[in-house]
Amino acid sequence: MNKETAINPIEKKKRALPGEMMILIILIAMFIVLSIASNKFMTWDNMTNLMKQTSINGVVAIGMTFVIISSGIDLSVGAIVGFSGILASMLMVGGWGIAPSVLVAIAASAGVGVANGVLVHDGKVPPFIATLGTMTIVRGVIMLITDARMISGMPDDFINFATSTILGIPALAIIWIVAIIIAILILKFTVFGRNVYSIGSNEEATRLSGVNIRLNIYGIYLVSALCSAVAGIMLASRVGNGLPKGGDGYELDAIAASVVGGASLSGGEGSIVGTVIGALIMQTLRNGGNLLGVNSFILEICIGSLIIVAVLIDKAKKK
Amino acid sequence: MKKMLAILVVAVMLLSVALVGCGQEGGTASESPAAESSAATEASTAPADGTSAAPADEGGVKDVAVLIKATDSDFWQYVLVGATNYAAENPDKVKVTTDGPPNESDIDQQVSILEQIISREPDAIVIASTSSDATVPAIEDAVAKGIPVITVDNKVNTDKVATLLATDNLKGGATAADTLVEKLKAEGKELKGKVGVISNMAGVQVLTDRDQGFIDRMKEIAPDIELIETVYVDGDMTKAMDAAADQISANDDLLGFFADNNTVGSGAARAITEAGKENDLVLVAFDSDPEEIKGLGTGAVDALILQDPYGMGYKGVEDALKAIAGETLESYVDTGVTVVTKDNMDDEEIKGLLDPMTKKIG
Repeated sequence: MNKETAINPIEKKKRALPGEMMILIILIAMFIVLSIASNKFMTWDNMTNLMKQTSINGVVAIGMTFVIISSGIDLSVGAIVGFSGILASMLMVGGWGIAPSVLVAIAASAGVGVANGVLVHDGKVPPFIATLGTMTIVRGVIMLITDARMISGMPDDFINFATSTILGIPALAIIWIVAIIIAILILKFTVFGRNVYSIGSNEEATRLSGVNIRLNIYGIYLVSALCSAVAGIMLASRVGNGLPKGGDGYELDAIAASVVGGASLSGGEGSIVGTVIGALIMQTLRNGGNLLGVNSFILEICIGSLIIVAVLIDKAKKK
Repeated sequence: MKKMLAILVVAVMLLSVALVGCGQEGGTASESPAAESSAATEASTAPADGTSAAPADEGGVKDVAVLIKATDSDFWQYVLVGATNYAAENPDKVKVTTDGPPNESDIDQQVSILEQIISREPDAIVIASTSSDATVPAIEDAVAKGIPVITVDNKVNTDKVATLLATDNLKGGATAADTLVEKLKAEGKELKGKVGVISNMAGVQVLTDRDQGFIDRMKEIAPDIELIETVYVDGDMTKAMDAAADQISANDDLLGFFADNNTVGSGAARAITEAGKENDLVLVAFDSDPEEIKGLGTGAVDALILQDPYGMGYKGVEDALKAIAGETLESYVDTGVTVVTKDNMDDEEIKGLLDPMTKKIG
């Protein structure tokens, strides 16, 4: 680490690779077991399915990772996924073009992210409560503007996007991959990225060292809202409709992916690579369960156990 | 500075709502008239609102309170359309107020709303009770006060209610199995292979009944078809898509799916479309929404099993008036299911079942 990170010496520990190696091993082990158990698992068809299935939660989880590293939490991500999808689909059905609809939906969602930042930083509302509030408000707005009805009749070009592929890779997965790369670059190579870690480790010390906490907190919740907004557009394209309940509960999947991936809810720790693996592990379990026809309830027990085991292993490694 | 920011944030959020309004004017507005949204808002925000309304004593206009399970779904909105339509057709006989908690999981809230309704003493109550037990004390209290209670959709464990208007879901599930097998036979397929069962949610009685009805009848009429372990998706359409897509790629001998409501029906239909198997796989699903109706057109959906939520609301209010007049009602009326396929989907009567909003008055 170079001198720019000197503001926070604690930081040196957290990007250490071993934690990610452990969960990568878990993922590889799952792949091996599933390929033996089902000859359909390691097929290109299923791999593209898996990429598509993981991509939406994967994008939400990237934003969540920023928030968790900064020792915050964002419960509004699922509601924003729904909001952005509904807004884009309503505008498109209303005759707007695809690009303006998507941009307006993302911009409006960004507003929710900034609102979260204002509440957390200026209002001193604990992030859990602030985002719980915005989540409820946004869900209410969705119900109000849709009358709880599905929005249908979007242009085919938009719906077909989710099924299209580029060089054999699903378009949804490409968006995810682009988001991953951008997020890694931001966290590793920008001042903002380093600030996210140092705020999470010790906000007071970071403030004393002259960092503008306000702008950084706004930025963190903005990144989270932007990721969710993009995920909402991906969701609308995938299901071909605007769903009033779209994204319901996605906040928990995103938190789980980040935490399985090594992010610490007490802040200062976490990585995008870890979160990507975390999201893949959870979806691979679901995918494998479906392929093998495993009882749904047993599958839920497995997913829950996996979240706990992954964190336990991570903790044990750090001792 | 902080105030400025707060104002800015509120402005951005309001602006986004306004923008949606603009977009809506163009096209979707036809589907969701303003009157509808006011009904929903009234229901979700002001359960006690009836207390301020004038009591409906004059001229024999009866005050009937309709309480649904949740304001957040099409199905319950259809029940309300039926109820308010009856009132719109008979303005001299009845005035309907509508209430409901925001979500079906809000069982406590539904009980509180019911208690508030009882305290304002309407002439009758029509309720779709989410829980079969939680509302029993309040319902018995209402009946003791001389307010007749009509139950729709879900049975409540008390004999004090005037009647129950509901779909026999076991029978509906069996009808789905019959429809699926008939379709397979019509396509000349051997009744051998696998069929997936996708359920919207675990632990919901009406869904459990549908699945059970389907599974039991399948075992009876097509014993050689293997039913894949039921998948539950927590009301999430993308999870239904994922599950269906996974089962399609895992099973070469897959014949089709049964989906027990519109959310999972739409998810399965999208997965079938994505896989390009509209003509190979048979999908029979419960309830209707725009995606399912589109699927009927493309062949992704082969048949929809429709209940009659509009009828539940309409007949519910009608029966409430009968009960107020002192008539004895049948303790249970099966409101029945209708099988809709590509062939009959354009019939006038079926269109009203597919989207009861088209029947809305005023």
